[in-house]
Amino acid sequence: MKRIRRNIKGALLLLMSLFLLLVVYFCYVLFFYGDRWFSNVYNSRVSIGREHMEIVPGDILDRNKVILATTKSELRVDPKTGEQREYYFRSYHPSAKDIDISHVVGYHDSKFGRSGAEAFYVRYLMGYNNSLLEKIYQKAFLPQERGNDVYLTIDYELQKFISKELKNRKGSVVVLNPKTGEILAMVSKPSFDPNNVGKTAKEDNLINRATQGLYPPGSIFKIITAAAALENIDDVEEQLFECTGFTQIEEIRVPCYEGNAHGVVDIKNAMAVSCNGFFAHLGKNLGWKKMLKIGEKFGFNYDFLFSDIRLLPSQLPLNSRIGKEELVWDALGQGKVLVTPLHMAMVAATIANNGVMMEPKLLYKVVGRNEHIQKSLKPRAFKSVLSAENARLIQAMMELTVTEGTGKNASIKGMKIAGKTGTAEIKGTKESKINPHAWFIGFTSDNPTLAIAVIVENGGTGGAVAAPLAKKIIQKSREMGY
Amino acid sequence: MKYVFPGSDLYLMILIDALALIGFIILQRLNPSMGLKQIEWFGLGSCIFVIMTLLTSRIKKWDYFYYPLIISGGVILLVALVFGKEVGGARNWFSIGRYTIQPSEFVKLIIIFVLAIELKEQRHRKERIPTILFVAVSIMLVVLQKDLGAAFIYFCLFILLYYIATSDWLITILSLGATVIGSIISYNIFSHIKVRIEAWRDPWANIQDKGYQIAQSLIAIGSGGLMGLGLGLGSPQVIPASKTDFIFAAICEEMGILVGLAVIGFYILIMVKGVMISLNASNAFDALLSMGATIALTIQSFIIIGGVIKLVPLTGVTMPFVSYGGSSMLASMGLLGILQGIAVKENRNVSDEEDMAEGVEDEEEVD
Repeated sequence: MKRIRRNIKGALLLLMSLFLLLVVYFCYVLFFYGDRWFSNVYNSRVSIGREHMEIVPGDILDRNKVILATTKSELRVDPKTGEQREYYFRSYHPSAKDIDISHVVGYHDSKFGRSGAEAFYVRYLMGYNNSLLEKIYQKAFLPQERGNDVYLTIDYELQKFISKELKNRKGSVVVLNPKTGEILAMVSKPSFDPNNVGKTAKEDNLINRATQGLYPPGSIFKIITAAAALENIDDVEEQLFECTGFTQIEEIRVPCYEGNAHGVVDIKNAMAVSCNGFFAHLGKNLGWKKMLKIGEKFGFNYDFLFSDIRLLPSQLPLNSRIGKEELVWDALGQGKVLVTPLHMAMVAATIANNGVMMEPKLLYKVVGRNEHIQKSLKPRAFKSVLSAENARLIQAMMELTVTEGTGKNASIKGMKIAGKTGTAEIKGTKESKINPHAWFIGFTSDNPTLAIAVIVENGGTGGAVAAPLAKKIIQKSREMGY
Repeated sequence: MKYVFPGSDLYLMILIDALALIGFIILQRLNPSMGLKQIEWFGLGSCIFVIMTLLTSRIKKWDYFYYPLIISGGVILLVALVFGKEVGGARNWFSIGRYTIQPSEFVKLIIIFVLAIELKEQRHRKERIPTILFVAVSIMLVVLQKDLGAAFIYFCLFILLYYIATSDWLITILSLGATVIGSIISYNIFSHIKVRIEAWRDPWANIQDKGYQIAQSLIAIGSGGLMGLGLGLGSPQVIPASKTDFIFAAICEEMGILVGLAVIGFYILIMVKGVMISLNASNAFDALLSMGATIALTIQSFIIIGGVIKLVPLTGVTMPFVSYGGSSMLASMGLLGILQGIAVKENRNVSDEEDMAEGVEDEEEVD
């Protein structure tokens, strides 16, 4: 009997730990995912396009109070009764399509559902975050309950400028503040008109390429390879390599761009001129484990659960089964590596911020009734990726790229710009060669308040196409005071 | 209560009443006719409770019941398998006239009694084989009926009670292994199990069909916040099975997460009380019986709440005392009756001993 009692106590422990697991999981999952579940587009509790809404959704504005989205009502004839009724709908800035705020702000349509900020911040827009007292007050004393206004970190004028510069080309631009993670601009073209989603949605223009577009990074990935080298290979800064236009690693043939022979280079020169041979050897010598480790430090293969924004994971599919050839091409940013423009901007921002990657922030503040500020932007460090020393070394490489290397078209008089170009090849067919993607990522190294990522799909080379675009955008941003 | 059943546990009664009350409130809000029916079931359940309490506190020789119980258990399950209807894809209901009953709920009670009778004495492993076979066959029959929750509960009852009674590692590990193999086999044979597991791992990917139920459940829970949206202000009707399996999601949505945590807390307290009654028992049978009832209630509430919040895959069991359903309420009341019966029995033993001790004292004084 005593033994039975002892066993019963053991069973109690077992059952108790089951319930503890239940409670902990419940709280954990609600804390991290609760908002996400609520904002899910299948949540029918929040939907527009109805007559007399219980709660009128609040406005979405840019950081300078430019109204990007608001709720309007109009008299429509009820199809069933023939009476005129007041229907509510979301109305967006008239130039939404041209300046591409359509992806960032999103849409809220009775047929198409919700996307972008309209979806992600629906909790604030519908006032669900109001305190109990506030909810009671609004229900009792106001003629119409209203949600709260959401201010985004983006700058409408900057978005306008970038959209104009991108013109009709497909691609994406992201401008961040490396110290705070604020997204100052996020443009994805082609765009659509959120005032008329049904008619203007075409092919893939509803996709926000900045956060959901996966592209091969090409040479901009060399920043990651260089970081891996600095972390793992002693005195790699002193190592020299003779580039003859192509290099042979066992049975793999790696040519440099256009077969250019770069001569004798160290890591700094190799980065500046984007020498494939140098980095191919680095990749092979580091091995998949070390490359994977540094990639994961930079946030690759990671399911970002940022509070402000939904970002697809960037992919670095390295494992023990990878052959040397795939590893080498991965180290050059080709192979099977895929990245999003926002993530690449975060990488540039990390170098600018002494190796610390800040969480990207899109929510500037939430303002309730009577201008009462309910929530304010709080910068948060996401990862400590590199030591400040290594970050500075890479910064020097990126500065050289702009002063003397492939990024010359991004240099601005009177400013110090650090950057890296990328020309990401895409497999074409035998008949037609597809133009590579033009990449440029960089930051203002004299005063690191701006980091940028530019990709022009099938635009050509990074140096010729993406770099000059980045230059203009950085100049304009500085003019605007960032 | 104290007078009719001296020694019964008051806290247990309060806990069950609290749970049932929450159930009444949310069911009334969801569907007033169901709310009324649930109260009727509660009334009927209370009768069952009284009967079970009397049975467990008064009957001393349970050995005679062994074979009748095994036979009736087997017959019930076979009948359910052959004549039952499939409702909701993975549950097997059996209709008698106007009422639909879930036989596996009652067999749960039978299994607890059978195991307690078998395990109360030390015996050689070989002699236990008939009981082990009975449980194994019951589990298989229930799996064939696609009632995986019941199968899991039967399994937990067997393995936990067996170990508690005998500390026999061999059988424990063997049965664990057999179950694992059985699970893998059934996963591969039964497509509906595959669907369940897929929906569990990523409901959002299949949100329009397989994952819809869990996704809507999570959305509802996420919408509720701490204080809930308020009774009548949420939309729990979009969750399939919101009055039975997913009632926890409806509770969280409208009454808030704090209430949800309180419900979990109630089940934890019921478990603790049940274990205390079990520890207080004076013989193996009483301890095993009450522990069995505790395990049944505990495991069942764990897997249904866990399924609703996506901790474990859905299994089609109900929340004891809260979910709508006659079989569920009656069976849960039966389990409550077992616990209270043992509590009463122990109390009587103690007072008998006290009476005897007092008697001895008196005699000494007379001298």
